[in-house]
Amino acid sequence: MKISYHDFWRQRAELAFIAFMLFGLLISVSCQAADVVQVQPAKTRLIIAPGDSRAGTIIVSNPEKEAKNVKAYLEDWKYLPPYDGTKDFKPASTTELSATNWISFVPSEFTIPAYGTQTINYRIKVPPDASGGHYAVLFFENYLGEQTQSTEGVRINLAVRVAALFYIEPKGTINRKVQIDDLKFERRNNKDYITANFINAGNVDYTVKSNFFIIDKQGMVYARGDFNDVYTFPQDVAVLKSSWKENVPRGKYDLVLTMDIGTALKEADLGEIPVITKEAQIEIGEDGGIIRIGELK
Amino acid sequence: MKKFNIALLLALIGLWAVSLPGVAFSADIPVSATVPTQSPEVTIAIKELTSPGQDPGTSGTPVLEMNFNPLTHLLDGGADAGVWYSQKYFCVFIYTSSWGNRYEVKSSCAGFSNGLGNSLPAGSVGFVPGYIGADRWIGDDILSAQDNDDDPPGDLGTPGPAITGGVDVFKSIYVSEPEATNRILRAFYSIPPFETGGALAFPDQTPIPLNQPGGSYTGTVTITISAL
Repeated sequence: MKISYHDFWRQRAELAFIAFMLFGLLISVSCQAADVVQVQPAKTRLIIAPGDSRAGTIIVSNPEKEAKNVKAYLEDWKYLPPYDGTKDFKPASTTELSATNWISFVPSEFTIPAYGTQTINYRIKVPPDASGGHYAVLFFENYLGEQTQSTEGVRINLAVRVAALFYIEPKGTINRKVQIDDLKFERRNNKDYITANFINAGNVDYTVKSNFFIIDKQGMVYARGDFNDVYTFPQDVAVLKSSWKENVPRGKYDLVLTMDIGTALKEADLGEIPVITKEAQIEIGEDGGIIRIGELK
Repeated sequence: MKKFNIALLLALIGLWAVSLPGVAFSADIPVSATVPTQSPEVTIAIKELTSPGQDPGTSGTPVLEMNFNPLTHLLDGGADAGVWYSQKYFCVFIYTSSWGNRYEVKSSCAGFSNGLGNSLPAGSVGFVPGYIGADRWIGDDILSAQDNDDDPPGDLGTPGPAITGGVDVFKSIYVSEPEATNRILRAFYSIPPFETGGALAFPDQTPIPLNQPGGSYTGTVTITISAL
């Protein structure tokens, strides 16, 4: 198809206009977008002796060219089933392991200038009779646009808040203990599944990374895999799950579970905990099902 | 004097060797750097939409609040919907930056009141989380889409009422995968009528009845971002 000189330039002009409009639309979106404040650090884990106190800072930054009004407040938190790290936030001092009464901070309301920062000074005072891990979250909240009252109908103001999490371990009172039970194997659609209950039987939170392998008496590995990461508070029961494709033939094997419950401590540079290893003898039948599971030791 | 001469000679040899091109000396210089554990963060943008099925990625009006006015009870064809609803609805774009942390994003809303003791029904405002792979980043990276897959690598929340019964009860918008990649999330808020035939527009919908006391109803939706 031939295009005339006039049509050619008209099409070019139309394309340029459309591109200009699209660019303008994108720019208009970016102009209306608002960054919320940045908080550093995201997590604070401290080991403090009962009766002692510790001071620290959190830096709140404003990455935008407009000043921001920020409100800071404490709440409680705990992990939600299925203990994949998602949290339930609760009003301050309403949960059993709340540390909100231990924490004081200033300032609680402030304005951060454009591209500026605000230092939050906090102090944590651990009661003399404290025992086991305690937790809190310091929220930094600001509103998108001005808070306004509707003149008629329905209006929604939008607030955005960023969490700074606290994990406090009263020194000398921490008991780390885990239990594994309800170990199960299942073969579905020619794929093998392993599940087990992980029970936090201690008095502090665990972030658990774990894996397994199945070996025969000669040390030949028949299956291995990583379990899902689990995040638990004391007494929480999480399900470890994994699967593998290559079916393990009928026979007797050793199942070896390896659990690292010290991930959070390592991340906070507060030391290491030996990895926990549990073994059990298992016997797998013709259909991949477990005929016998020995005691996990 | 002899010791001094030897020392001077060694020093000169040292200076000469250092100045020679091609002669290299190596020394271990201790270097350390601490990467800050910054919290995950979000950038928020709101689009006002007016047509059913409208794509907020390519259309809609950028706004800073969700103003559903005016409410109506008449459908487009003139029939009575039997409830108050708004033809406007809103998409909140949530651009996440994980800074290496697995993260979760939640929505909560304590409710809407007119300041006179009246509240909207808990199921009157709908919440629908969404994800479109073709959504584009803003700012410096303005032209790049996140990916071509409309199935995000993490877990997207489920539709339901935006009013969650209290500020500390949440609707999940998104939980990141272990790699904690940055994502562009959508959260739609609406006050719809029933669907055709009386079907619910979202689970547990209870629209605003026509006998709802009049007035101005205001509430706050809070978006929370936290490291896992």
